Amino acid sequence: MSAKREPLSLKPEALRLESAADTINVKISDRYLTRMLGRFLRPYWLQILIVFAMLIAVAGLSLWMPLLIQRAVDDPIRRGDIAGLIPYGVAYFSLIFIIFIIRFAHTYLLQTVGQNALVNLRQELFEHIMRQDMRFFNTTPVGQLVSRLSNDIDALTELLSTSIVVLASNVVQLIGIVVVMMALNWRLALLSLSVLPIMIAVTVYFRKRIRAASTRFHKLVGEYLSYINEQFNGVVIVQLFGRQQVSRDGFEHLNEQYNDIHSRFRDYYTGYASWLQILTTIGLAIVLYGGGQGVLAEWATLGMLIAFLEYTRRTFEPINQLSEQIAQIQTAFSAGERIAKMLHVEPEIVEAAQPVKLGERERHNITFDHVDFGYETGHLVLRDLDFYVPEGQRVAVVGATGAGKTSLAGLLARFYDVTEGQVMIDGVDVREIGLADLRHYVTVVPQNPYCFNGTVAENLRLFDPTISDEQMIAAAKMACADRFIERLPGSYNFELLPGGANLSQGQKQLLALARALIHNPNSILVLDEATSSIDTETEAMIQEGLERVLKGRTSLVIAHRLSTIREVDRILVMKNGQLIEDGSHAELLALDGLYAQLYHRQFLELESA
Amino acid sequence: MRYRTAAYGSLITGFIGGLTAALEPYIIGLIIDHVRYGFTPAPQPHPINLLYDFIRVQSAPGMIVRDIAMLIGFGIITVIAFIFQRSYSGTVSYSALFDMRRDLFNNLLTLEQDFYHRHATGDLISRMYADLETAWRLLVMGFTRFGSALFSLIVTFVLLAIVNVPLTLLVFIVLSVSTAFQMRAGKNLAPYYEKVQDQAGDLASLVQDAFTGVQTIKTFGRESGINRRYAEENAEYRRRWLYFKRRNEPVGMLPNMISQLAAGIVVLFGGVLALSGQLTLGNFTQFLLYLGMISNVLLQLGTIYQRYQQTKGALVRITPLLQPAAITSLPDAKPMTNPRGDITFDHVTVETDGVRLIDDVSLHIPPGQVTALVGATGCGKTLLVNLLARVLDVTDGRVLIDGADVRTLRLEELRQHIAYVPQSTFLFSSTLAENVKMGKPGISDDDFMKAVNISRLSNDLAQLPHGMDTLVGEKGVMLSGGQKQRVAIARSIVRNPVILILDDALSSVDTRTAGDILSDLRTVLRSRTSLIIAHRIATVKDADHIVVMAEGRIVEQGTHTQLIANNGFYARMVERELKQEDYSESQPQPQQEDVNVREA
Repeated sequence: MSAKREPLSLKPEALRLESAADTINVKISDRYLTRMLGRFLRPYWLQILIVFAMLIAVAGLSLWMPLLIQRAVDDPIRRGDIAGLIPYGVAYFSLIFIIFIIRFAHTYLLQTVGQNALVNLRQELFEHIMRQDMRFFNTTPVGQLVSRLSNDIDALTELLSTSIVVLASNVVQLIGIVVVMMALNWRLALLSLSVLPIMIAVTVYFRKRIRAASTRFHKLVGEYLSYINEQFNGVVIVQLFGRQQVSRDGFEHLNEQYNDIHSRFRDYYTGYASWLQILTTIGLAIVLYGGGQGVLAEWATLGMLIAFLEYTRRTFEPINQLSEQIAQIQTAFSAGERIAKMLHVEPEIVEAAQPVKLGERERHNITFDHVDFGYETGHLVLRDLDFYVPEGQRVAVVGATGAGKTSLAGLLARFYDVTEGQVMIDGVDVREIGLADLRHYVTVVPQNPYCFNGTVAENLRLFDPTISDEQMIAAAKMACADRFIERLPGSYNFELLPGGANLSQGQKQLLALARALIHNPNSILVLDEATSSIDTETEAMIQEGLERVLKGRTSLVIAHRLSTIREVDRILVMKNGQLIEDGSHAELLALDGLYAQLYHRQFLELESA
Repeated sequence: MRYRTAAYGSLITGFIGGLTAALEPYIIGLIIDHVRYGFTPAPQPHPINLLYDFIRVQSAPGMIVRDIAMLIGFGIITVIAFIFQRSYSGTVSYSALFDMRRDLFNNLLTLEQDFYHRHATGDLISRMYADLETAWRLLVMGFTRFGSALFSLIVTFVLLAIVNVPLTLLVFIVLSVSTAFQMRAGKNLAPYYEKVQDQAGDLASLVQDAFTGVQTIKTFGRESGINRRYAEENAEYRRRWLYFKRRNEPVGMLPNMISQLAAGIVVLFGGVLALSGQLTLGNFTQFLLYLGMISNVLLQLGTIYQRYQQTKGALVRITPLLQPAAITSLPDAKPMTNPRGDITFDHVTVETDGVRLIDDVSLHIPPGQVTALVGATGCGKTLLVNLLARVLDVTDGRVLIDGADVRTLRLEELRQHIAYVPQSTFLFSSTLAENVKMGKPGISDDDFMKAVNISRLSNDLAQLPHGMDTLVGEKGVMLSGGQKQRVAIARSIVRNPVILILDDALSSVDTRTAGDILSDLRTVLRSRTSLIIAHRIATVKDADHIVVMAEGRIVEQGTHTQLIANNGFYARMVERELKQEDYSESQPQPQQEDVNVREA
């Protein structure tokens, strides 16, 4: 399996609704997929072995039944001996019951195994995706990820629970039947199996086509899901702006494609099933003809003929069932392919080989050493950025609109790596610091803090059950968030709507500050201030909360509020990705440059001229 | 059902296929008899002898050939019928699915905000995809299999009865008992399947949530926490799935066993009958083969029944998506001719879950007035303005525009005339231009450029690689907060609204620019009415009328001067803000027109 991986490049137009992961140039062969699935099944090898043993047992026992019929016909029935039929009857019925029980047992076992394997696969996929870097998330629509983890894995469910049983039991049965038939009467056996090669050829022919169609289908489904995801997220806007027709048109387009590919997929399947059916009939005809001749020529008995009819039917039955399964299997494999590709994606932000641990310190310093950075190659948002922030200093960053300021946060937290230069904490390049540790040293509070589904408490705890109620409430108090929280119905148990729709931006910032206090009390804080102005009361709370949170910490605040400027030790002024002014408020005012200009306009974000 | 031809075609070909398929074992039995009895006409009268006489072949090998030819002939007919049936039923079912998807989507687009608050997007997607597919598969199976399977069954029993009634009766009884049993057992399973799908929906929602907020998780290094949470939900899904399958599977396996039992009975009794001469070997073979066929059919029917149970669960989940919109135009909705933008809130109350979010608010806004709404977070400002465009409806009281209750007006027109600029801007994965125009037809280039200029979006164009054709949204260029807001402003202006609502939309521009934008807006909108929710006193103080809200009520109203003089809520707010923006005495004074009150 080749693993030539191209670096993820951003081509906005081309990657419309696809995922960056899809464009990775990796060839995923069927063998690789089988091995991948095998990996997840391996822990259950014992159960699988038992299942196979049972399958063989069932196959063996089932093979007796036509034999019983044959003997019954050739012996008691021919001789006219009624009493002689009874043991055959008894044997037959007992076989039926035994087979039923064993079948139930192995189905039960296999489904358990299958589900277990899937649970593991799902978990691994989720954790794998979670490990990716921010560039991946910023270029992959969430809908795609949901699709990968739900419908692609569901496709595998059918495979692992039903298809494998059918496949395996049919193969075993087939082998058994061929052996028995050969033993019974090799001439009849050959006649029976004469159509088999053609059936195989037909299968191979259709399999490829069904697979290709299935792959295209699944890709489309991903796009489809991304689309409706976006539409549902923005549905209020769609309604208020009467954009329904545009949305419907977009949907119609995808819907038609979906329909097309889906029907083509089915057409192939119908073609395949038809061929198999006609071949089955021909096969039976051949047996009858040859067998008829055989009986006449006395190298076969009637009983044999009847038995062979049964056997032939049972030979073709698995193959017919297989044709049913083939669609499922192809679907599953193409879904598996997408999953495998996703598992191939590796984050570009890689943990250092020997991560350095910073000494135990309460406060940290920051160095940006001649840093160049751009999200896309060829387009720098930071140029030759060079500054040092000593321990405990509070720094505000102001300047032009654009991605430059926000990227500082991303670089410090190592969501992205620099193009040139170094970002250092306590003199150590952030790339050398272990990622898990780095999280303790840098906390980023974004402009629009995200609220997860759940209560306020859950959002403060962030899935960490070791945080006690007291800790949580203390942090909320410190950050001045407790006041608004306690006014909410249910206070800490107040359910947040998806995306935090029932909190204002100001309240979310307070929440985020409280979070920062709970999880990383000593880290460097990088705060990307909310741009929307907040009512003065909440603003006062944020100011106070911020004051408490920033106390003694090294901090970088991407400032939008004048009140913040007043509290900082130092101001960095950026324009076009470069640092153009650097000093205290008084110094910069005296400079009468860009900062002074901004300040006099009472606003800290320069409109691009 | 719009596909009548195809539906009938499917049924007819299904019948034909079922018929010819049912004849196959019959012919085989004939062959056996011919072989056994040496090609003299069989002792029992066969209806098919008539056909034989017609063809008139007497010699032994000739008869075999003829039999075989007939077998293959019918086989081919079966296959052809099958192909046609698939094609017809495919047309029906695929079209049905196409329509279902479209209807679901279109309906979802009309549902109110409250619905979307109660259903996470991930769950909706799960319902619209997975549950719909489940429900549909039953429809397909129902069409392609059920009809012909049932017919085959009937024909089979008829043919068997022709040969030997008692045996047929026996078989029939055994099979009926098993079917009844299966149906009973299967009935209880639907709710379990629903639970499985519910959990699937939950899982999808969690994934959605986790990856949307992934930056927060990474910031705090909480990957292990959320992984654990996912593991819990994952395990629960497995639990429910296995619980369901373990009960479902045996139900499906039963038909197989029963049919084999029946086969056993045939062998036994059939053997007896053959011995007593009441049954030829050929008939015996026929019975056996038919049993094989019946068992197949039963298996299919069993699967269909299982699927039906699953489908009931899926259907339950899809049904909410088809609910009619709570906020719609009444059938006798009035059009809005020459809207003036006169707004009245008449004793409006909004109550949800027992909490009064807006409490008996009455307010009149004459056309052309610029009204500012201020107040602490959560006091109900956004909610109040949302009532205008009917994002939600009042619990009590009325909202009137030009004297008419908004609920009596045509919804599309109402929304056409109101432009809303929200706090956070949603961008679609599309070009910037499309995000401004929002698919509204008939926007002249002139109007478009005007909107772009007034909102100051024109200033941002230089930074974007393809200008107005730049792709933005989830997969496109990331715009800054300020840029997004300008898009939202342009979006609202370009529709030439009668009522303009700015919900904290000027926060990303400095005071002077905000003032410029506002006065530009006024010129453009002329006598149109605007409502501005803002926190910055500088923006608010130039409004014609200021309304102060707290806890869902209006506490003060008036002009800026009046309110300051009132020395109430508003005055206190102003003071607080100035305190925050003011400099201490050691700082140099700003040179600007709007002088702030200096602290003593």
